[in-house]
Amino acid sequence: MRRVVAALAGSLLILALSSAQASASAPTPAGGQVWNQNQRVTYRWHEGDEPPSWMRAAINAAASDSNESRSAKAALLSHASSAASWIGYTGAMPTTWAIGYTVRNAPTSFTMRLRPQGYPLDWGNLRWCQAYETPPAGCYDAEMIALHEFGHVQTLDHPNDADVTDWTDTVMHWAPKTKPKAGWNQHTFGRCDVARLQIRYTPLSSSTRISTCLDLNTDLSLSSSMASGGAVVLTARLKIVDGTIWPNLASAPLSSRTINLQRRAIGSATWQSFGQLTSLDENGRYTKTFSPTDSYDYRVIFNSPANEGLEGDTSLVVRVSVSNGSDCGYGQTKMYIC
Amino acid sequence: MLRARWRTSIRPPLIPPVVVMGTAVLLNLAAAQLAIAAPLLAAPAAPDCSTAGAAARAMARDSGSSPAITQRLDAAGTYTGLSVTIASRQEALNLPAESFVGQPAGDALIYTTSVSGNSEVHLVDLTLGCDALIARPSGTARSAILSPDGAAVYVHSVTYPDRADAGVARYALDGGAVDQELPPVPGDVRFGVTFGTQLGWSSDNATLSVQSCGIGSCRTRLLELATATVTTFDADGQGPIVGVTAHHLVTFAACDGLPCPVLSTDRQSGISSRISDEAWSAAVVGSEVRLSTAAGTVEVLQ
Repeated sequence: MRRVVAALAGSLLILALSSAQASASAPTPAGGQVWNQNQRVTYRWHEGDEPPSWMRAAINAAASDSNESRSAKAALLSHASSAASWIGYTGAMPTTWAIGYTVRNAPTSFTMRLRPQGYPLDWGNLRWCQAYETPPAGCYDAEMIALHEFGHVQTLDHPNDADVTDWTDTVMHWAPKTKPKAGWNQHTFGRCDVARLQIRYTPLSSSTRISTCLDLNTDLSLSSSMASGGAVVLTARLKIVDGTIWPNLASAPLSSRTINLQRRAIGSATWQSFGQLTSLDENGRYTKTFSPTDSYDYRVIFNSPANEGLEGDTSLVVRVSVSNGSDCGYGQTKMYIC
Repeated sequence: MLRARWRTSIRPPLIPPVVVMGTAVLLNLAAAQLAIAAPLLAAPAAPDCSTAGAAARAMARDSGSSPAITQRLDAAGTYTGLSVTIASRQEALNLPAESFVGQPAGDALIYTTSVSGNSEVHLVDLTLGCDALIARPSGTARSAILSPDGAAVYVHSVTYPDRADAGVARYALDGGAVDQELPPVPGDVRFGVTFGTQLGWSSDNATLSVQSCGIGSCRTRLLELATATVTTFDADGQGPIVGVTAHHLVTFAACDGLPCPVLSTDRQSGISSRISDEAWSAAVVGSEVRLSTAAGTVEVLQ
């Protein structure tokens, strides 16, 4: 039904929607071989280049930031003394200029280098905020930079800043900001980082919120069945549409969302709220059981949530007739309660 | 892409090549001379490599020796400098935080030091173990590279104490002129402040590459020695330099890690093309680029 409405809205509406989408941030670019879903990837401190305690704490915190904010089945990162991957605190990098440098060899291992505090660059000496009790202006937040590098580990690349409308949409900027500029100490993946991780790894579960950096159409269906005692069971199913451009997200079930139920009297054009369906399982199914006393048409509605990148959808109509065995006469579903 | 001719003679050389870490006899004989070129670093006695042509001789020799370089940190984890261990020397060179150690060219190793704006450029012969002060640039020396014939050293510096880019100067090792070969890199908001500058030679040794990188991306100036023509390549998206052939500038895309795309830019037209979407390593060998990719090693003729 939503599609019909959209078609009737005409080209002006379509143009308006296109314009709105063009001004929004795009999912952070990514490339290369991915890790296995939820793969546990551990790292050790590189022998001879072990970070000082304050840097280790910042790196471990960044790993936790990645784990907690990924909202996708991206790699789980943690420190382990015998890990294949390593992180070094060293000025010995393949470039003269980067303050962090990551080599990813998914799904096997990675290496990461962070330059040491005080390392001389052309413009001056590198300062990490965590090296100070009172971080000075112009310092780099080591936790944020390490999270940026972990973003590379998870296969994220740098976005084109022209594609980013809000700085905090991503931690993968080419030029991270220093204290006290906005975003200098961002400790979670931005929504467009999450979007790409969901595209590449799929969301953590069917209950995981879909990043608002995405704009996915949904498909809501409704069916009915009879239960014992004259009750009717309405079952809805919510999923991302089959034809979305992101193959990993196509047909993905969506659980724990709000599904509103409406009904109208037979022949009436006015829909009335009839409560909500309850999330049944991780397969995107929702249900409501009730005992009807009269005949109604039913439909379920998923409204586009403000905190998710999902478009709303409305199911087709299901008719439940309360009669003594005569045909409903409606082309959908017929129910008899005698 | 921008082409220009730019070269200016600054002044006579500050110093001739001077033995810094020679034998005890030589140190005694040269004591007066050393007063104006006093080394910043104490060092043990070693053979003399300050004589004319020493750099060229070291470059022509390749014993396979390479220095072991380790960083030094204080207890709080602050970088304090480099220790350079050379097999032919009894003691390691302990360089200050503001220092640079180049890649060996044959047996010739260049390093720079700078303390409070007093900069030195040194030549080490990895076989003989000797160490000679070969230039004292003004400002803060950031890096240096020997000319392919070993007759000069090119030094990139920043001003002291402001650390503004000071361009690249050529110091003749025979006591000849000092020439400013490249002006300071101009300001450009696309790149921001310069984090690092890298000097290198084209595979045919005819062109000096000077790559200046902001935190996100880079620009490269190519100086053709024969004509003193400087060509600037500053299109968006340029990353670490891989190398330069007679006709192409090869760089990674603007990645701070690997794998990373590799770009090849025609030096005449300035047109770039992506020759690999995802490389783990890349090197210019002659007129070819050797790429290591998921598919294996690929050679691309330039």
